Amino acid sequence: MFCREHVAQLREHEQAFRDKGAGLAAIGLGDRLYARLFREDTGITFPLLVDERREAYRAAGLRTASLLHLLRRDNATARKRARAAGHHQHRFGKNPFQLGGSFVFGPGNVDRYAYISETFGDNASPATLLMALP
Amino acid sequence: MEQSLSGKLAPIALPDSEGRQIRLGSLWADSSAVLVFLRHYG
Repeated sequence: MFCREHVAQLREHEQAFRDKGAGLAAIGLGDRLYARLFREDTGITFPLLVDERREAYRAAGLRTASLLHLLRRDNATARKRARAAGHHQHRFGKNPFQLGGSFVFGPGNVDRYAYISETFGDNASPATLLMALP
Repeated sequence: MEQSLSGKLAPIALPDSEGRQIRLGSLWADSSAVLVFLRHYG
């Protein structure tokens, strides 16, 4: 549900990223079939990569949640927000406790912005990502 | 000197949903890139 909400926000801003000369790509867990179904469901056109072994997630230092995160007030608020926007949980992925993150890099190996999600539904806003672009 | 995160991620190659191997560094080699790690495809 939060993934779909986040992807919908990114899609809305895809052209704005392009206008600033930046590409957009997403990485998810699961396998290629899962990714293809997700792509078809969400209609995204930017690259969707599959990290079955969590290699990039580990390298990026992304966090993992626990069951206790479900009790957090910020999660309840985020769930309410996502549902109100029409997003629903479809399938659970390979590791539903894996948390995400957003980064702005380049050109070249230059780090411009990093956001490591603290809990479910905690994502960098597209506006913040746009501001981090050169 | 500590390696940048983008430098650490750059050599990792992952398949896209069509099975093409994409080296992450190629995404930001010539232009900026926004890279988003999703929780899962759910």
